[in-house]
Amino acid sequence: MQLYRWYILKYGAYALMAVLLFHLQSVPGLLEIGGVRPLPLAALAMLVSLLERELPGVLFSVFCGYLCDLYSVAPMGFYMLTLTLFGLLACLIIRNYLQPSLPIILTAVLIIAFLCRLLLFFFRYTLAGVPHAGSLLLRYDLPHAVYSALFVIPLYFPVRALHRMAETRTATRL
Amino acid sequence: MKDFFRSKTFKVIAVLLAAVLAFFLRAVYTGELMPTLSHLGGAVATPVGEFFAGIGRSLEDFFQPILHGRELQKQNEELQALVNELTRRQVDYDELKNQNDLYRQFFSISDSNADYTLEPATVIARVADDPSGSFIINIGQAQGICSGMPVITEDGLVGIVGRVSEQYCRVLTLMDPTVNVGVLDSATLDTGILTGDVSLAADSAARMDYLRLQSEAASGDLIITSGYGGMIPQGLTVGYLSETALAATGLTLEGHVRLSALPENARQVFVITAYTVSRAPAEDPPAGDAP
Repeated sequence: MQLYRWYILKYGAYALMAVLLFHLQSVPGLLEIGGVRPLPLAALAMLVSLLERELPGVLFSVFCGYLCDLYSVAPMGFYMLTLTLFGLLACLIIRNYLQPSLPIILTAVLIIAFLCRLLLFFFRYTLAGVPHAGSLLLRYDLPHAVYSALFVIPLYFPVRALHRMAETRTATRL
Repeated sequence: MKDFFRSKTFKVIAVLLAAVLAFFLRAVYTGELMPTLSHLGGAVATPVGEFFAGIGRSLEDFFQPILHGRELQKQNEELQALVNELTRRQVDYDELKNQNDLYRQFFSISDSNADYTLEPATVIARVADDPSGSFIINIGQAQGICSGMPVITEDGLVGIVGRVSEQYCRVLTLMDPTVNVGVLDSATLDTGILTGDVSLAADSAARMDYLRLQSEAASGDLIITSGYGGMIPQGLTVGYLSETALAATGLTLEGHVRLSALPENARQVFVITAYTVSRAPAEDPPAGDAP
């Protein structure tokens, strides 16, 4: 019973962070720097995917992706799919071949955030034949990915603390 | 890793991913939101979004004079110059208006007036992943909002409604490359199509295409909607022409339009849900000869 209590507490706290970040990233002008708005929710989804087990990580990515999709320019389901898929891939690679340390997670989130932007760019501009769109990759998409990935640094410590607290209290890897 | 791919967990994840993929493909195919999921999310997110947007506005109001003092001073000087120019033009305008009224009366020309049905809305969120500045407003299907309806502020046309959910909708700005609006130059009456250009979006400008080669449209001309297409009424302010050049095809001219209603300044907007154009009866011509 105690195991479930900590399980619920941990994922409840993650969900609360996700909802808070969703609203913070949407507040007009709040996190905007030089016209670039970040997607910190994507960073949180990746972070949880990389630190937790596969199935809870995937479920949390679906939830975060759903929130991102609500107010996104992409078709509904785009972030649900990309965050889940890339998060799972990164989780498997890092867990089996690397260590989930902060620099590695930061790099992974940066790559995933930029891959998401590239996919979106391809569907939204390249396939639609929008002229002069190439510069947007450097002017908006790359800064957007970097800015979003930087949110891993402040989010890493509370997420790791929650993860470790639940692990030590239950002596199980949830 | 091999163990993972053989495990039951992997099978559950594969089924989940297939379901998400199916949702995504449906949304792409229909070009709409997933109704139930977006309505559910919108019902929760919209009121909370309004609360957070209120906090954001208060913070912005507090910090703007501190952070953007020099920018505001520069803007103030530019606006003062514009006021001087407009005052000078007002004299010409009054004279021409009086003359025009007299001609209208004499030739029995009727006036047309557009009546708009407006739905007020509040900007509750900015779309985080869109460089053209689209935003979310707190009204949707429940208030009769449909995709393609024009959205205006006190400065003019700011965009058109994109994806619509039950409680909220996304507004595509005029800087979005997928938005095309019929416009005309109010000085020369040359028509064109205003479309978003990603290279101009940073300067809050858009491109006006298909201006005829002989057009005398010049920098500073007021650009308004032409009403072409029937979805957007005629006469809404769009912006001012900043420059014109020969288009890449060499067959037409294209211009850059500095938009007057900027999405980053939009807080309260109105959606034009319907409009009618009525013709006022012409007044009797005055007795006597023409002027």
